[in-house]
Amino acid sequence: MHKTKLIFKSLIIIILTPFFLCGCYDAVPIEELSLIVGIGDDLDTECDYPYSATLETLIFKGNNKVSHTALTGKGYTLYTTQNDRQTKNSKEWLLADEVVYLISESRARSGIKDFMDAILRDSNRNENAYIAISKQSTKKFFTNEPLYSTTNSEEIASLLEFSKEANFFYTKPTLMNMLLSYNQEGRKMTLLYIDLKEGRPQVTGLALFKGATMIEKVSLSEARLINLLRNNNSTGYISINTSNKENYTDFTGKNRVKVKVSKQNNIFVYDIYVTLKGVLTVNSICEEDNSFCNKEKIQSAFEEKLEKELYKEIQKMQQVYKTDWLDLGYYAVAKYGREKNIDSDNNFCKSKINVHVNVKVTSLGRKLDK
Amino acid sequence: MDNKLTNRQYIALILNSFIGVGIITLASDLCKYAKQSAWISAIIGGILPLFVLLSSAYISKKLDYCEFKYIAERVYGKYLSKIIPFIFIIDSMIYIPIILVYYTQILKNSISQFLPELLIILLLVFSITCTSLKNIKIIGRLSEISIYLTLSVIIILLFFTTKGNIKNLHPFISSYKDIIKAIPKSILAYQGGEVCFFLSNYISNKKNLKKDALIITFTVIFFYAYIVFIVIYFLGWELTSKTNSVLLFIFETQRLHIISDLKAIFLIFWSNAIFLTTSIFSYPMVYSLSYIFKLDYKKACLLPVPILFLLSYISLKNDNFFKKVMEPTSKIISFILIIWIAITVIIVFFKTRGEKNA
Repeated sequence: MHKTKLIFKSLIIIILTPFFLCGCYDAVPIEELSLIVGIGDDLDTECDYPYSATLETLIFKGNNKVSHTALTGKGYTLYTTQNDRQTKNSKEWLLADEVVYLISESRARSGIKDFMDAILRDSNRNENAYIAISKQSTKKFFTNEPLYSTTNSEEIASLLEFSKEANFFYTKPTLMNMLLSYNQEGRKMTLLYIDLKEGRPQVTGLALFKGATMIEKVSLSEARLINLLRNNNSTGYISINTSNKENYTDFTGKNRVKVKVSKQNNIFVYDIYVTLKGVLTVNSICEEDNSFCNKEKIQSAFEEKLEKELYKEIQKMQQVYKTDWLDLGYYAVAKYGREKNIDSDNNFCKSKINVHVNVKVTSLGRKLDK
Repeated sequence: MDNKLTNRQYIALILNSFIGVGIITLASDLCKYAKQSAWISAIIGGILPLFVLLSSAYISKKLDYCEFKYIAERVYGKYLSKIIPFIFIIDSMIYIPIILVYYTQILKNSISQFLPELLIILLLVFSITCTSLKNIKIIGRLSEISIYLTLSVIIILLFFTTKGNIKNLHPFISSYKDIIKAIPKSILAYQGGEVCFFLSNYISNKKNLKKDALIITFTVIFFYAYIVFIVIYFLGWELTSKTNSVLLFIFETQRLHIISDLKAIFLIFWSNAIFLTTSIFSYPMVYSLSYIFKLDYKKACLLPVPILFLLSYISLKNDNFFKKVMEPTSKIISFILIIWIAITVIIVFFKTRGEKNA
């Protein structure tokens, strides 16, 4: 009896102490909170302050009414913009539930080293938030009227989340993936590029980075080829066209990339094995050309077409961009040792790259070809 | 039997004494020097606990599993045996504040920004004193529960096996020099086995001591090497060396349904391990104090409290003091301890051989 009393007493003490020590003294009701859902970083060249940041927040009005607003602050650094922003806000900020980060193109082109530092240092930031580069200033994105969600941020986040469903984009364009590709030796950042067209946000390409500075923006058709060589297990749609627009072949599949590195006379030789596995969805070409009823023939036609396109893209990368955006240095470094400057762009431009495309059609579909 | 440790409790207790702050900090400490082969350094660093535990098993077997004060008296004589416990007192007095400082810093950065540092330290020292007021049997029973929770990190880390890239670990060995350079950094993680010298008379099953030593060492080595391996596999060594609490960082990225992320859950389990580690560390200190000053065990518990509190508070507030006084001293004292163990093994070897011949 004595023992149970003691246990009971000590339990009460253990449960009550946290309440007194870390109770809700400074807590604020939800109506007085600015719950940040989206963060945008801009570069303002016109005014005195170089940086400006826009935060989209939720507003709770009671009776389950929720709306959104966006506030912009200007300052000399990333966080001092808060000084300006707070003067316009009558509520308390709450970070850590943000779902999307946007960086305007002008800001990205001038370098985002400070931003990369902040997301690693500030543990309050959400590493699973999505990130993209925007063509217009981020304020335009956040002050837009959302169509199906309460906030623009949710819409943009879901837009980025499901970009993986086509164009061979990588599965999670989040801050975490950005941090990994920025820090790991031999890799370079590529982020999704979004544009405001007719009042709706839309993915229109890929922003390519060198270090923390954006160098190039490529169109969607070019991004598809880069993605095909870079990303593993991503989905995409490709086709073979003929002069007759009714007759073509459609292929839906997932890719798998394997890279083998070797060295010949101080020149790196990369063998990229791209395997595409998927199904045929349209094959009207076979009514004109009978040989296309054969599975092997279709596969080799796709392989030929893709290899041609990929070689062209690689040539452009080696001669025009002169930067390794295929993450080939990552494989070279893993084989020939780290911190020896093996992954330099100079080595990439000199290197020989062979692409071996292997298309596997698992099913021709329900229709029987003659 | 009432006051004795079972075999499983003994294993859990020693395991708990090793596994502390090292879980979170080891990966980034090693990666600064050994780069992608840091996990090999973690394996080689395990020589230290293997040596400590095996020599303890050897000494206790040769000296008939007697209490620590009899070991000291039989090996070093009447007067020298009064000096030996001071090594253990200083050892615990340095390492407990170091663990507390790391723990407080991690807490401040993660879940309790609102609590003042003074209060955290006060609570921790209070809990250490309360636990060490009980006898070692209670600590053994607590460790038996806690160790399963701590080792469950192995299962949690399996989440990350599909997300990393094996290329981050290649080439496995690029420079032997870097790997060897990193080994001294693992000393904080592998510190804490000395308590086994004080436990030999508490163990009920004395035959398995050597086997237990091997089980404990290989579990600890596997645990640490596995954590470092997975962290590098997921993040790459560059990012690992840039963050101070790397395990919390990767737990934050794993979002689960119902509970928001794994960080809070892990911190609850791990805090248990830290409370126990510090309590186990304080046992040699309290024992030595009561032996030297001929005090009652419970009174000796209260003696080091102000020193522990002051040392941890000063090193928390003054970073220079922590980096220039505490950390070098801890390395020197560990080195002295290893030499002491080696000398004791040699003396015991010659003394007992003489007895057999006579």
